[in-house]
Parts: sequence; structure tokens; C-alpha cells
Amino acid sequence: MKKALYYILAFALGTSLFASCEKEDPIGPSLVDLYGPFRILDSLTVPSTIDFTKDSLIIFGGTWSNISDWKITITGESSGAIKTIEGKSKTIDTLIASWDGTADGIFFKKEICSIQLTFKDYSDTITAKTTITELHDYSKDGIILEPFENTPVFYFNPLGTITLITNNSIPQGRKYAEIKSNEEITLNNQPKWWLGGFPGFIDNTLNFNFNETDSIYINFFAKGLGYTGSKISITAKEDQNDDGEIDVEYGYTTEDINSDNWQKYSISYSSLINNSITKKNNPSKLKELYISFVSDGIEGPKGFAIDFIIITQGKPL
Amino acid sequence: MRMRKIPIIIALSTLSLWTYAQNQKVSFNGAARSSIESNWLPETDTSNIDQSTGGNTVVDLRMDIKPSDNIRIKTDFRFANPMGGFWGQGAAIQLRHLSIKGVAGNIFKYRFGDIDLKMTPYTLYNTDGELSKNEAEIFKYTRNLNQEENFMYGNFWHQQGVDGAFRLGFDKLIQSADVSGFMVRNRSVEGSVIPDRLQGGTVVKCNINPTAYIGFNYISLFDLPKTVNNEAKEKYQNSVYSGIARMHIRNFALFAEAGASLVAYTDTSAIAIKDITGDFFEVGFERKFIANQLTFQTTYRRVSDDFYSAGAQSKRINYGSTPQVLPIVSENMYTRSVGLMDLVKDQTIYNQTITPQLMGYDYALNHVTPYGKATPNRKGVSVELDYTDSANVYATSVAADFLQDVRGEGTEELRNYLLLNWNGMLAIHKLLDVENTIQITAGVQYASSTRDGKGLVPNVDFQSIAYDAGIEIELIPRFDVLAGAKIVNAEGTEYFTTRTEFNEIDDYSVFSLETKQTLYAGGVRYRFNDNIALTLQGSTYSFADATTSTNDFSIQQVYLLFAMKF
Repeated sequence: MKKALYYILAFALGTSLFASCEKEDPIGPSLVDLYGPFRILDSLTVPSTIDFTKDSLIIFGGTWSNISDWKITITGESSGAIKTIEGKSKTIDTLIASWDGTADGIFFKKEICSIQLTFKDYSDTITAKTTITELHDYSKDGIILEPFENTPVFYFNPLGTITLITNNSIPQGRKYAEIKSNEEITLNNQPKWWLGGFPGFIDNTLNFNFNETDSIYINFFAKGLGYTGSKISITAKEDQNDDGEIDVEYGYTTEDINSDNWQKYSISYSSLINNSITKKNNPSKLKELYISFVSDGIEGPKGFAIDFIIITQGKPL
Repeated sequence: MRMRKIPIIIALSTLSLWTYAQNQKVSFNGAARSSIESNWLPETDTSNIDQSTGGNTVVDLRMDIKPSDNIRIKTDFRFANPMGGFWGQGAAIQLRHLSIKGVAGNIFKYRFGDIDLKMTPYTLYNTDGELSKNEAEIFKYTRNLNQEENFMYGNFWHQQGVDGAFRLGFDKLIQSADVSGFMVRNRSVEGSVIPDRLQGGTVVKCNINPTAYIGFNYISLFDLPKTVNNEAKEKYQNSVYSGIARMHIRNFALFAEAGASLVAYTDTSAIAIKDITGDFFEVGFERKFIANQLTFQTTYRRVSDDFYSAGAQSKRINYGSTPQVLPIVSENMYTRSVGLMDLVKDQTIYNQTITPQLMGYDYALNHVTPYGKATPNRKGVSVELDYTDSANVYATSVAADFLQDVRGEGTEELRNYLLLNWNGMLAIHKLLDVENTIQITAGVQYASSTRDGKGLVPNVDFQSIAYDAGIEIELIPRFDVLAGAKIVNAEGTEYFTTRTEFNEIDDYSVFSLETKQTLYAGGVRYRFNDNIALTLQGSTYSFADATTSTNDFSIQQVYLLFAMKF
């Protein structure tokens, strides 16, 4: 038995000497890719013109020597719209750098866009230009409730104005709406709160057709007009017991609309609540949707600018 | 309400204890401890909370019950009352330990409940905490208390489950075989998503003669998917097996261990998406000289980069934890990480769970073998020389690890590692032949790593050096003056690795640091007898970051501790 033990120990020693001579491939990502000298191998490639009605995705191209954090910034020279795409890699291709014509904030127009590729850890910058000949079709992204290209119906309580303004640097299209009214204290010392609203957006007309589990977003652009205490309220009315009658309401009210610049609001349907019941809202039961102009209850002029109201499914606008 | 129950429970316990004691079937012992501490930041720190105080009183009542000659039940009840918990507010009674052990048929030993387990440094092993070798008595005293508080005894892992052992005798080839096995619960089911996780192992040790054996070890950490859902398929498994041999010829010993690991993961669709195998071996010899006072040991080991052993690589200290004492510090108001002071004073930084993911570590304390001998991707030679004279007047130890990567990390170039350790003890009172204890201890640890970047990537060039010194003087019988110092300097450039949940490296980030940590402590201790002591300590801890001086901070502490065992 002692001999057997000698053999085992000799084998282990022999194996160790043999194994220690092995030369094996490195593990993990290449350090040269991460920390080696930085070089652009293939410059940024962008088509000279883009027609988003034909190409749903525009694919960028480019290769550099190191894995690094990069950012592509697309700026509409006329509209000022911006789209940023970020990633960490040493190449950009179909999977990680494509553009469907959408914007981070206000939308692009048919315009020349400047494109800039920058790197977090390196000073190298690559620029290019492209021209949008046809715009992204947002009607494919959801249900457009109001684009504000024509004056919509809007009810006031009791007085107010809705004016369409034509401007190039606006979220979408050529026009947006400025809605103004006054909060007044009534005889019984109560403010009006509700200053106006669109007629209900009705399921029969718009065919909401959502599933219970869908993530639904109500999106719009808005900016302040210098008045305090102006808010936008959303009310969803559902027929939860399928008897053809509205039986429950859920609501959500924004903070004051007071930004000088256009802000994109994407309100998740699940954030609409009804404090008096515990039952969750259900988009498949949605029958009517109301978007209203409400105040903070303090006397004085109120108002805001608004553009492009759209419901999207799966992700915010 | 809780306070009303306490006297009743104590009375019932005492009554039943007394009854048992009459039949000599129960014995009890325990420990009691009361501590008060105050910690504060310097006046120059105007950004953070300046001071914290705390303390508590705990009494552990341990019962050893013998219902029959072959069965023992062990319990440990804790009565705890935090300082400031007046009239029972915050007071608690906990069952800290419960185990049943016995011998069936004078053959089979078994244990149920809380059990301590250890196998080999590559299979199941609770590697010592950083900078704990031969440290000053003033630090060792509090570190040991904190380790006991966390059931960290030696290199054992404290687990809950069952184990058993028996011995078989043979007439031929081998004299006997020791067989043992265990099964513990590593994680309990959580909701309908996270399944139960168990860990089981077995050891077979064949004793060829009293000085030689060969053996086999197997350990596996595995999920039970059906504990969350009948249709559940997701399963994680980490298994390690090894063969081990050791033989002595006079003062000379040869030993070896070799084995392999497997990490397997099956996803929710029952598709095996991970199957990672790794291996290791270690061979070495040991020689004793000068009537066994001097021991020389050398080993060669190779642990592959994909050797993963949860039982051996789980760290004793959780460096991701937030220190208990004044966690927000400096002008930058950042949450400090576990430092020198916490290593010896904080009982909340200990990791009590064997975890399959490689845990984080502090590069400044030991980046060469952060997971002990089982640290993956290391190969090389270790040498150790230990000397203790027969009268225990001198003791010294020198150890060196000359290691290298098995596979380059992100490059074909291999890192070279060096870990040197020296520590010594001198019992001056024995040298001078005086009654009262006068003893000094000292230690140095140097750790380095280097790798040539070949001009393409930053070089690895990182060093840390840690000093430890302590003195214990018994001024008058049983009245000790204690003092100690720990200093750690770290500087250089290294790469921090990011790993996936299966421990595969998926990213690196290069970093440079130049830091200095110091911990000075002084105090007095009166030992009423060998089991009861009152200690008053003062300490000052500082951290300096040469690259970002706004991260600098210091903490002062006064600590009063009464501890007894009965």
C-alpha cells in the first residue's frame, strides 16, 4: 500500500510539472481593446439622405480599436430636435446603433441633421451630415389623439381661448396650441378647478383594443406660458363589469406646467389611480379618456402650450 | 409584554435545570458580556455626524443536556439588552444554538441542528480573516470576541443541518476507513421564485497506518427547483471533488491534494446554459527539525482560473458591508469601506453564508490570495518556516508565496505575485524569569503584483505592506497594560475585475491608489480570574488617500468591556 501512495504522490508531482508548462489563452475581454492606444479604424458611416417611410431603421457603421463608451448625437439643424444613442463597444452595427427617426424631445422635421460621434474617455470626435427627406410615421407608434394641426374642439369653463401657433421649432408638425383661461372664485367661495377639456376620446371611435397586461402610455408635449398653477389632468373611465356602462374612473394630474421649453410627458396608464377603491385599473376595459385643463385653485390667469397627444403601447413615446 | 414573559421563562428554565441537575443529566455554562463604546470624528470634520455611542449587555446561557448516555443536546440562549433599552425596550431573548448529537450503536456518530463543518482548503474551509496572524493581544482579544459572536471557530463554517460519521476496520491493505457526510441548508425558499439550496458533502479517509492515509472529498451546493413550483426547472450547482494523500517517514511528510470543480446552471427552460469545469492540485512536503521545534514546509499548487468552490472561496469578512461605527466620513461625505478598525472591532462585518459568487475584497489587505489557497488563477510555490522553542519563549514564522497567473487576464502576459509574511513573539518574562507576563508580538506582511503592459496597456505594479506590533505587560498580578499598532500602506496600479454571476470575468477597470491606514490602541485589563476580565481601551484610526485628500478621515474610540465565562 505504501508503494501505491508513492505512486500517487509521484503522479501528482509529475502532473504538476507538466501542467505548469502549459500556455493558455487569456481570459476575459482583451485589455488592449480596453486600454490600448485609441484609433479610429472605420469612420462613421451615415446615408446622405433618409426616407423614414421606406427605411424604418437607419443603421450607422464605424469601428475603433478599443472597447469604449460612445455617444451618437443627432441634431436637427432647423428644428433643434435631438436624438442620442449610447453604447459601449468597439464597433457599431445593426444591433447597437440604429435610428428609427424618433427624437428624445421635440420631433425632427424634413431637414439637414448633423451627427456627432464622441467617446467618453477619448477626445476623438467624428461628425457627419444627413438629410431627412421623409419623417418617421408616428401613427405606427400608437393612437394619435390630437396632433394640433387643425383647431380642435375644446370646452372651457366658462371662458378661455385655444389658439394654434405656427412655428418651426415645435414638437411635431407645423402647429401647436396655446390654451388660456382664468381661475375665478365663485359665489360660494369655491374655485372652479376644472377650466376646460377636450371632448372624451371614445373607444368606439378610436378602437383602444388594449390587453389587460399591456403597458400603456399617454404622451404629449407641453410648456408653460408664464402662468402658475396650470396643470393637465387625465381621466380614464372603464367598464370593468362589461355591462356597457362606465363604472369606475381613474385619474392623474401633472405638476404645474411651467417650463419655458417643451417637455415630453409620458404618463403610464398604471399611474392613473382611484383613491376610493383598491381595484387596479385595466386598459382592456378603457371606454373613455378625458384630458383636461385644471388649476391649482388660486385666482388668476392660467394656461399652457400643448402639442401632439398620442397613446403608445409597450414603451413611452 | 415581552418583559413579562422573561421572568416566567427564566423561572421555568431554572426549575427544569435544577430538576435535571439533580439527576446529573444537565450541566450549564455560559458567557456574559457588557460593553460601552463612544466613537467620534475630529473637530475638523464638520460635514458628518460627529459622535456615536453604543453598547449592550448580553448573557449566553448554554445548556448541555444528556437525556441518555449516547445523546447530548446543546442549547445557547441569549438574553440581550442594548444600552439605552430602559425597562426592557429593545431587550431580546434568542436561541442562538441548538444541536443534538449522539452515537448510535457505539458505531455511528451523528449531529442535528447547528453544526460546524470543515473539509480541506479547496473544498470547505473558512479562511482566516485578513491581517489576523499573530496580531497584538489588544486586537486579538476583541477580534476573537467578534468571531465567537459570529460562530467563527477556527476554519469551520457554522451551518444548520445534519452530519454523521463512522469508522470501518480492515485486516488487509488499510487499517481503517473514516467515513463522514453532511447535508446543510444553505438558503431557504423565498416566495415562488428562489428555490431551496442545500449543500452536502462526504469525506472518505483510508488510514493505511497511523502516519499515512489517502482520501476522497466531495461537496456540492445545489438547488431544489421543485421547492418553488412543480414545473420549475432552473437549477444551480457547484460541485467539487478531490483526492488527498499524506504520509510520514520519520520527521518527513509528503502530502498532496488534487481535484476538480463543476459549475452547472440550467435555466427556466431546462436548457443547460453553463457548464464550467476547473481543477487544482497541490503537492508538498514537510520536515521537522530540532526535536520538532522547527518546521519547514514547501508546496507547489496550481488552481485553474475556472476553479470555483463556494465552500472554500466564500470570505469570512464581507467587504461589501457598511461599517457599524460612523460609516459616513470625510469632506466628501462618502460611505467608508471596511477598514483596519472594523476588522478588529466590528462584529457586523462577518459573512455567515457560503455564497457561490466570488466576494469582493480589499486590495490593500491581501490581493494575492484573497480566497486563501483556493484563490482561482494562481500557480506557484509556497514556503513556510515555523519555529517555537520548547519553553515557548520565542516563536517566529516566515512564509512566502511566489505565485503567478495560470492564464493571463485580458492579456497573454501573466501577473507575478509575491506574498511575504513574518511574525514573531517574544515572552520576555520567561527570558528574564519573572512571574508577571511581559510579551511582545510583531508581524509584517508584504504583498505585490506586477505585470508588464508591453507599452500597450498600463502596467500592473501594486504593493501593500502591513505592520503589526503589540505589547502586553502585567504590571501587577492580573492587571495588564496592552498596546498595539497596525499600519497598512498600499500603492500602485492594478485592475479591478468585474465578474458575471457565474464568476466569469466580463470587464476590467484599471485603478491607481496610494493609501495609508493606521490603527493605534492602548488600554488596561484586569483579569479577575482566568474567565473574567474588565478592559478599557482607547484607539485612534485614520485613513489617508494621497490621490484624493478629501477622502481622508480619522475616528477615535473609547471602549469599555466586561467579559466573563462561567
